[in-house]
Amino acid sequence: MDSSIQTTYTEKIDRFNLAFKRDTPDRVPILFMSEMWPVHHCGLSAEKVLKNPLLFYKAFEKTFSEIYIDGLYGLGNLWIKPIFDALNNSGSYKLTDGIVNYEDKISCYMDVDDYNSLIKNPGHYILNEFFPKKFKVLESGDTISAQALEHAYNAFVNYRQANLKLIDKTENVLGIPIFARTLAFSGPDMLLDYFRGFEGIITDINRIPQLFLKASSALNLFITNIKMRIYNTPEDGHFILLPLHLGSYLKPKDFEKYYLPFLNQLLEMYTKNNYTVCLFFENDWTPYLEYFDSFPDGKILGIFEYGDLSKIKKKVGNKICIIGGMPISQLSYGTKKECIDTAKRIIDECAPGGGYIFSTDKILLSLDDGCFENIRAVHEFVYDYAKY
Amino acid sequence: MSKIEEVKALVEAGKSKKIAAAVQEALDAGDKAQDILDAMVASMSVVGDKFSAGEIFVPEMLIAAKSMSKGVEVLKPVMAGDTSNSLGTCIMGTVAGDLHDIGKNLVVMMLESAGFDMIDLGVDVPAEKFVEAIKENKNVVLVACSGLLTTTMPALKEAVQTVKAAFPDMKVIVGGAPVTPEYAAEIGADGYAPDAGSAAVKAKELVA
Repeated sequence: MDSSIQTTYTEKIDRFNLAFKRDTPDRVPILFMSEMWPVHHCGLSAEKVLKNPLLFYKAFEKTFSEIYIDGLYGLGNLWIKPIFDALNNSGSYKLTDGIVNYEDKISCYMDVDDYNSLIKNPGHYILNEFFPKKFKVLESGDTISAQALEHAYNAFVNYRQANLKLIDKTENVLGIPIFARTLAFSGPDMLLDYFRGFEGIITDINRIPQLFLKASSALNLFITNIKMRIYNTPEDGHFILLPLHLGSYLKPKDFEKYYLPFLNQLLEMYTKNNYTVCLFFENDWTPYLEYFDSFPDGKILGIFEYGDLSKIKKKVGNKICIIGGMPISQLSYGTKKECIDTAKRIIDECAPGGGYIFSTDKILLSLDDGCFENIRAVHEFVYDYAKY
Repeated sequence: MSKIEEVKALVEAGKSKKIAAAVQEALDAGDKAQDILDAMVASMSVVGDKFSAGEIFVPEMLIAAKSMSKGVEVLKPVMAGDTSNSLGTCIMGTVAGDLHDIGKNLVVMMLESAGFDMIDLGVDVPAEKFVEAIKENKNVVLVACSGLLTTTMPALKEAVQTVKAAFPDMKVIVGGAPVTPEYAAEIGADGYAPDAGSAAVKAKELVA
């Protein structure tokens, strides 16, 4: 890395890491959360950049020479489609503008009778029972299945390499840190997203709560063990991204019993091993803020999509570093002045005392999610104004 | 508590295992099928309001809707052929390019509970398919389009405008996390609802 780039990179990552510790850096760090926005801003298509990671990097290079940022939250699920293709995607996944989305109702192939097998050995169950149900090409266990699995594995390796290439160039040439080093899940969220689906999980919580609890516990340990092996340099200033799904659908009493213990267990395991954990609070978490008191001490961050960030900071700013605030709807439809007024209000309310990172309230997926002139003006304003 | 009141309470509490027997007992006790159905619809309206007010959460709404559905199964043979209780047919789907269906499925259940005959087109529905469904089904009074990804907002717009171009008087309601009332109005939708509970209220308003 060039020495001036090294200086820039170190300044930026140190700025974030002071905020991660709920401390006060020289100024409020600006985190950019996007998927295909920079790509479209540069007139490129998702199809093109997914064929060539270097083009994606070029989009970053141009975009961030025009818009000031201190860091990127992560890259999203780029280059993941070939993995599903290799397994003869059953149709439950779809790539929309480079973004993978899936249908809940037909994506989850675990039967209620499978709970005991999952609880006994999650890895064995996933590979030998769940995958053959989900991906028919693996059902027979013959040469064709073996070849499909090999192709999927190779596609996964390519996906990792393409991601790493983009991260490497962005960090070492542009001096911009990309923070999410891996994506993790809690046991209840894995059961919801990958195994039982929404209706299944709600029914299970009501009818077979003990099996749900045991499976959540088994998956919590299983996934954490894997994640700590994949990302084994916890003190490198980056973080584990942990999107939270099921929690905000549950009534607080059920949240306390069926979700919080597993979230706390994950946070304890990661923070005890010096990891920084970034919780992505999908949906509105206002009814659950009082439970944050039970979080362990450590570097825990929270990206909030909904809720009053000022109130959130007051309520849980002693436990986690707060990220977000700038509404993408205003960046899309508001005037430059309206956007800057909002940014000023957010900084005035959330920055005092440190432990705050400026960002959008939601990820900028498509170009329509934020007007370039508004984003540039807001970031310029925050860069100048939000100094401690 | 009268049998009909018991049915109401069971729907609201989401007691799906007990509801069929309770509905049958109400019928046996001489309650009219229409009155039982009205009571369940009223119950679901309370459930929707409580959800919109943050007093109950998605699972409670879901199990209440499922309970009502089981109750309706008991009433169906008794009410066969009687369409006077229907608010009309509603075509619903998640728009093209989008596979998100949790919210859409909840809205389908809530509209069904409110008295609509639901045609669920599923996910990734092209604009023309909404139009075809209007042509293929009887008494269509409402089209409901859902989208979760901001990247599929243009598809939501296309769906609304394609329906309106083919059937200018057809009422269209939209929803989904990135949709705002302003965006709904901008793309020509007649109504917007932020959640499944209020979708039922808004849908009834639109077809009243």
